[in-house]
Order: sequence, then structure tokens, then C-alpha cells
Amino acid sequence: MKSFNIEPTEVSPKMFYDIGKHCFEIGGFSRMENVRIFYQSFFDWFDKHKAEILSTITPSTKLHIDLKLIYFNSASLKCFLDILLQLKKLYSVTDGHGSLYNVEIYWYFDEGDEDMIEIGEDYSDVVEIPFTFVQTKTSL
Amino acid sequence: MFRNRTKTIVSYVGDSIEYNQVNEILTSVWNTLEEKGLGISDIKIIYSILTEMLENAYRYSSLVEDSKDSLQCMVSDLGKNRFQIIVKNPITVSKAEKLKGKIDFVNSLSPIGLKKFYQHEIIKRKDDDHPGAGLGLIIIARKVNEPLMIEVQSLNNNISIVTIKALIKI
Repeated sequence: MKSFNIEPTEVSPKMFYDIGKHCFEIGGFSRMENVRIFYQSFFDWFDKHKAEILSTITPSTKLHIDLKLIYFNSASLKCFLDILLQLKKLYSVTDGHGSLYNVEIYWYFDEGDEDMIEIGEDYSDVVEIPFTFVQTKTSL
Repeated sequence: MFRNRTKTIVSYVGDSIEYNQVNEILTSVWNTLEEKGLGISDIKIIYSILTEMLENAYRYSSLVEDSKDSLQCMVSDLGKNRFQIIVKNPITVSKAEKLKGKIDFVNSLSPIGLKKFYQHEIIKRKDDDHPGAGLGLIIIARKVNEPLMIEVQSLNNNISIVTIKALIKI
């Protein structure tokens, strides 16, 4: 099954979605001139492959998401939110007690970057999934 | 003897700005701050504020074509871990009014109030296609240590020139 892969530039992030392993990653900078156009390529690909991905998901399948962002602008924020919410919905299973999501999100931050931790906490509240925070050494 | 410790990190003056120039300014500021030995967290605070301010200026930069200095950007090191970002750009009169109102509002909020407002604005975006206008201002206000300053000058009946000044202590 085909995976989604975009290599990073100085202003746009690396994006990788391994359907077979159920791993998704965004990393780097996200402050392109046309943020929406950039992420639309992912949304188009996602819509095209959604049924195929869904067919591989069992109640025990977990999606592993790595968010390794160095910096993203306010325009990117809405796109990330859309991506996370769509993935959350896709990997949700319904049992007798309601809907459960099978998604784990890892939020990476540079040592001492309190600001990035706060952004992650805000994001976690909004998508209603607890994030696991992972401290890394300076990424540049 | 008095010594002026202010050092200009970047200065741009023009009638408009292209996106590749925005990139050049941002890259130059990042590199200069790195050379000064600032930590990545501090660099990102300044970079983040400058990005939002420049992207806003870029959005309206083509409004005025017959002026050589309607778009300006200056990033300065004031010494003692204080930095100043000033961005001046044209904007429509109605948008200038709204911008001033928004800045007055974010200036009136406490850090906790800003955090709540930020989260409220993100949640709003879960359900609509609003691209993010206004959120950049909240992001800036959360990172500065003093109220944002805005000055609005009328250029003509349709266009104003706004100057926004942000002071950052790291």
C-alpha cells in the first residue's frame, strides 16, 4: 500500500504517513506562503486512500503520531488541527459505550523550550487527546 | 559615558515586499540570533513574532505602489536581553480600525486571559474555514513582555499605514 511522503524544505515540513505501520509524522518548519495549498495535497491523498486505510484498521490498531515541529505559523495551525481531527476520526472505534480513539500523539520539543510545551498542551486540550511530551536536544 | 547599546539586526524599507524577501529577513534574523548565542527557545520567540508581523505586512504590501517607504521592518537588539521589532505596512482603513481594536483587546488581557482566548480561537477553527486571521496577533501578545504598540496614519480615504511595535525581553 502506498505511503504519503513529502521531504522538508527551509519553510515546509517533512510529512510521512506509513499506512502499513500506521505511523504518521510531521516535522520541521511550517510557514509557507500558501499553507492551505501545501496541506491540500495531503488532504487529497487522504480522501483518495481513506477507504483503503480503513480496511486495514482493526479494533486493536493504534495510530502513532510524531509531531516534531520546530516552528509553525498561525496559518498552519488550522491545517494541523484538521489533519489530527481527521486521523482521530479514522482511527476511532465504536463499542457499546461509545466512540474510542486509537491514536497516540508524541509532541517533541527542544530542551528548555517552554513555549513549545505550552503550545503542545493547548493543542492537546483542543484535539482532546493527551499528548506524550518528548524532550530532544536542539534540533538545528 | 553614555553608550547606545542598540544594534540593528535587520532593516528593510520598500514600497512592497515579496515572499522570498520575507524568507530572507527571517533566515537572516534566525542566523544572527544564533550567532549571538541565544538559545533555540529564545530565538523562536523572536522569530515567531517577526513571522506573524511580516506575513501580515506581506498580505497587504501591494496596496500602495507609489511610495518608497510604506513598508518597513526593523529588528533591533536593545541590549540587556531586550529586542524590538517594528513593522510598518499599508492596510485598508477599515482593517486598520479592526486591527487597532484587536490590539487594544489583547493588550487588556492577562496571560491567563490570553491563553483562554487563544484556546477559544483555536476551538472556533475546528468548525469553520477561517484561515487563522487574528490568531497571529494573540500569538504575538502571548510572547511580548509589554503591551503591543500600534500607530495608525491615514494615507488617503482608503489606505492607512500601521506601525506595530513589539518589545521582547528574553
